[in-house]
Amino acid sequence: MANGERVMRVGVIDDDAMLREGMAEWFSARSDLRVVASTGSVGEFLGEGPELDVVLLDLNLRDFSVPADNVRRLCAKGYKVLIVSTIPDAEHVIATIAAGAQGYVIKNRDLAALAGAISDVASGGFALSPELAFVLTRDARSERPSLTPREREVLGFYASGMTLEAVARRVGIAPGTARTHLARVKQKYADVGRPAYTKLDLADRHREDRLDLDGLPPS
Amino acid sequence: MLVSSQPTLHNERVIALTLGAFRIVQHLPFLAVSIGGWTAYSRPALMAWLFVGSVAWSVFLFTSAYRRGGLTPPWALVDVGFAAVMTFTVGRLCLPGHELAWDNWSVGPVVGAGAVAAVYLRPRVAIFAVMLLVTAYVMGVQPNEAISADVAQTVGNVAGLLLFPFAAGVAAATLRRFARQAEHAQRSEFELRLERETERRLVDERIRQFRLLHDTVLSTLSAIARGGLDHRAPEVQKRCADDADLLRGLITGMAYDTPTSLGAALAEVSRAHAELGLEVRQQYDSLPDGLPPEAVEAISHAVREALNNVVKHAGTPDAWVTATGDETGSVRVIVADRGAGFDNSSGSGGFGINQSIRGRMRAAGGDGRIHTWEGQGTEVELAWPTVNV
Repeated sequence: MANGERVMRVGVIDDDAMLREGMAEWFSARSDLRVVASTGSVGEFLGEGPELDVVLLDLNLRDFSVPADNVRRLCAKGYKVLIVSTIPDAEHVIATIAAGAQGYVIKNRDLAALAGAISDVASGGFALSPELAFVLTRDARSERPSLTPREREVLGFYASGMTLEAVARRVGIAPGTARTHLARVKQKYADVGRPAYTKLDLADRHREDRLDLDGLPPS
Repeated sequence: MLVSSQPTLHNERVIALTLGAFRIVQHLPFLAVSIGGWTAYSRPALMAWLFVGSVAWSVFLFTSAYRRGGLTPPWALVDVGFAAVMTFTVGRLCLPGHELAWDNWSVGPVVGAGAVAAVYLRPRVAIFAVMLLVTAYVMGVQPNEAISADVAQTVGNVAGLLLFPFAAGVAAATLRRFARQAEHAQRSEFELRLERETERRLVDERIRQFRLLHDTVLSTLSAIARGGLDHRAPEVQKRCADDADLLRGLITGMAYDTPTSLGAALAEVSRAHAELGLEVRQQYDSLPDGLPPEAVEAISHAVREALNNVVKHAGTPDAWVTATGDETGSVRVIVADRGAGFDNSSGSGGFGINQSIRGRMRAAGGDGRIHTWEGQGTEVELAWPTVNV
């Protein structure tokens, strides 16, 4: 893993105070995660301006803010955003990804999966949960990243919860190749949120991309 | 003739039967004439064959018209052509003085052929056909000097030849209009019944969902609200998590679409498995509404079996149920886990679920398949209706 044993500093933006408290306690079970900021709205969060690795942003805040606007405001300040929500509201999830969010996970009891996603985003990658993969397979926007038929196929099977090995077996390719296809999908979506401006940026991007490829979880 | 419904078919049969009966009756006078001998004709044997042929053709034509519920325009034209040739020949075979008498038996069948044209052909074609018949009749009787002797009789016959088909055409058009009205009324009634049935099913579905919510989420919330329950206790947390899964499934299945019975059925199956300690992640999209109940039943059964298998054999607490529909109304469901898998190389399905899942799916017009490999998880893939999965 690219991040080794480094502690990842996490910010939580969620309008449910009980959930925010629970989250801090929940994270205490892991030594590599620490909640360093926790607010009920994006405005409040930006007011504090904490220094951290990843922001967990609740998709639908009860202040009637537009999810994609929230993501844009956070990205403008240089934050890496991971979207969390109880319901995979496809339309809004896609809009937040288009606005620069680096992944989406569903709120459930799977702490290991959440930690994996946070680690992906912290290292500059894209957290592709099966839930997000499923939403992306239904992505019909004209400006969506263009995927090859094989990439779409791999994404589709991955979205149904299969292991990468199973996906590879179903598609009839080597597991390593399936992993590469999925990494390319991640890359295409990750690029949505960070346009490359200069040659220096491109070099950085390339380095990050290598990390991203290496940092992909085994399944 | 395209016959779509009962009133129309019935009506067309009445018309065919009437025309057919009339045609046979029109042949009868000749029998009376022939009793008196065959002295009116130059070639009696040929005349007898013509008569037999005309009767046989009429019987064949109207039997077929009755069976099929009408005549197609080509058949009606053949009938007109046959009648034209027949009346011309019969007129020529009559000895002078007999062409306009009862001895010329062709007048009745020719009137019948005109009626067929009026009933089964478009108006313009029908007028042409009747004119052809009149011409053939007049040309048949014309070379004999009788025509100048009895102009009144000829004109009378020709008038009958024109008026009777006209009357038949009007009568058939009226009958058909009534049949259409009856059919329309019948269809409206059917549509109304269908609409009511759909409405009733939606209400049933909603009641079922309310009952489901009452037994799960509502009773959990009520228990917590009453106080005295420690919400940190593992069993309380477990129950809340299960209920959350149920709500998530229900909302995913229907929030962004119209309520579908399949989405609700799958959410319920997943809820039941949550109680067995399996976290079922449900993903539904564009599920078609109005799937036949047997399809919903078969898919739910197959998903339940697949999840049972995960609980019993996969050794993993996580499973995914992904169900998607498309605009053609077909459904594809994948139940996947990342657990132990098994060796399915024999294709028999290690635990007999192959039989149980595929049998049920196939009986409902779908299909199912199991993909697995030791150590690489298991996927059960279902499709309805049958395609290659």
